[in-house]
Amino acid sequence: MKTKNRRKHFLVDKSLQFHYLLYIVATLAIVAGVGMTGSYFGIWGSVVKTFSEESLHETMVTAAQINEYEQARRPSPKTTALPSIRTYQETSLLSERQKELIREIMDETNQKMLTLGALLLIFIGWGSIFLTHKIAGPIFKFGQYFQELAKGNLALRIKLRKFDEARNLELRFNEMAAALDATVAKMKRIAREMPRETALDELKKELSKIKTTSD
Amino acid sequence: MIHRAQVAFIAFLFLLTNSFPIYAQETFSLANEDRVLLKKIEKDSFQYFLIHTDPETGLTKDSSRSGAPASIAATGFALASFAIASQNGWLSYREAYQKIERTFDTLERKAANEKGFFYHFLDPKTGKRIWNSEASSIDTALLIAGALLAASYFKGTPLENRARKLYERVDWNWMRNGTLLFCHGWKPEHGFLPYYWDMYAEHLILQALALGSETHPVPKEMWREWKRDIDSYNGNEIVYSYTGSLFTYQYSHAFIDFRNLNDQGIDYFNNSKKATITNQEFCALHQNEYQTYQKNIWGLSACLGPDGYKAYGAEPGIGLHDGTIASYAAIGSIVFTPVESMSVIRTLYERYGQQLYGDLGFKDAFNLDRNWWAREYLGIDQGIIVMMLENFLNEGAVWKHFMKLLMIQRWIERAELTNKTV
Repeated sequence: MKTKNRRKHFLVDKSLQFHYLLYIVATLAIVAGVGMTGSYFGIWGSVVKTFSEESLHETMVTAAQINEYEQARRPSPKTTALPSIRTYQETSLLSERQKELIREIMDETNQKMLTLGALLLIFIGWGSIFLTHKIAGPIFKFGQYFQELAKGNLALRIKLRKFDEARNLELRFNEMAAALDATVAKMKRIAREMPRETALDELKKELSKIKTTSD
Repeated sequence: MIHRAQVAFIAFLFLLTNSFPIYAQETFSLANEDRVLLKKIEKDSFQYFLIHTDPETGLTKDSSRSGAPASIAATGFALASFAIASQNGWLSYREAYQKIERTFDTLERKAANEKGFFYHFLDPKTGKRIWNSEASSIDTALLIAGALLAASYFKGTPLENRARKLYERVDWNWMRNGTLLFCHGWKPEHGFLPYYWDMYAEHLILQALALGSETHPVPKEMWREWKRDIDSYNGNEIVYSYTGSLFTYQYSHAFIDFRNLNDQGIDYFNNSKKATITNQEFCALHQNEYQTYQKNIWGLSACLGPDGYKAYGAEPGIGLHDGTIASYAAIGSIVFTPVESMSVIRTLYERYGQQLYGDLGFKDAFNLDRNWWAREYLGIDQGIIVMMLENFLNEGAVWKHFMKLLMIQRWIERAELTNKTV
């Protein structure tokens, strides 16, 4: 019966996994922080500034003045005589201006969010390459080593960079390589240096230590 | 095509214009201390455009009040003022050039417009249309006139070509809305405004630029279409504007030298002179009602007042007044009435300078009856001060530049204006 290749423990390498957990959480925190700050300044900051008491006062004064400009340029006894119509015109102007301001805020926010989104994408992209390189680099080196090993080169040793992942594996593989190198080197020395009649026995003894599929 | 005889006539006009100091007609001799004061007022008023023009877009704020939008008319006056400042040494040639260039960049690429007509109010930072404003015919004309004038001070530079292109892209014909009058403006939401320039007012500069256009020519009948209503005040017959505001007799005259032009028997320079004198007489007649009006204090024109901005004016016209005097009114008429205007300027400066005169020259207006003093400066009011004082102090310097423009020569020809001395 075939057993399922199911993992029993998810934390197989706590150090490595917690390390990456930290990287991911930090990245998401930065993205969320920047996004929230951007939203605040993009939307709420503009809204608060635009509708602050001082700005509202300025806007209302400007509405009144622009309406007065209109009246002065195109004087009409009907509209200048009735304060209610004048108030209506100013309110209408103010309302139009507020619509413009909201549109401006939305446009500005969209612009900011798009810029921010593009910057975050670049940041996440660069971070992903940086992080995956810490794993992909060692895997690539191991691949190269295995190819050399298959060709019979036992003199090679792996040397990973300081912050690369899988530095434990580096040590174990190098130990394995050193052991294989020593065994084969010993057999070569026996074959080269010992008399023929004793060399065969010695080689058999050495080979018997190595387990293969033909055993 | 301009014929040889017309070129000769125009050349003759220039000769006349350039031969006499403008106040020679008045046998007016300007005292040295008055000259110094006027120069100071011109320079201080110019500072408005330095301070209230956005350094990035080159758009000028409508007023010195915080939160004011940019106004394209004020921007036109700013362009003219930068050129004048360069001529007077208040800005170096390079500084003035760069400021004008920056404004041109915005007008060419960013400033909201419809068929070349710019919206009256723009966001000073972005050039976008704000306050639901209209694409304005008269404000565009003042802007384009300012651009053409400014460029004419920088002969042989790319500014000339760029100003011409801004002018050429204005579709003057469209603004007629199928009539023989210019509409006040157009809004994307409602189309053309229901108001037309149908009688004498500040729109002569709009007429001049449109009639001089080769890219978007308008029928020459347009010049005769608007009414020249005449009314009499104290024996003075005046082609009057509806409001009777002094600015309506000044704006076009800041650019165009009407001294030697005759339009079907009308001398608009003399008309403005009569309107100014009438304004003075109207104030004198109401001295008992308003203590603001005094012997040397007059000047009813559109300005801020204790109850907001109003088109104050004298008769003939509706003659709305409440004792508010516009500081720029008498200054803007100095080319018409040098003696009377100078008396007002000196009185205002010496008697009320404390409350009325600031770092940027005279504040907009005041009303002694209501003990009200404007705290603001308005861009267009500062502009008319700078331009008229430049014409007055430097022998029609602005006129000399503007009258040489080809489009203005074409307008003179198409409107069939004649030399008034002929």
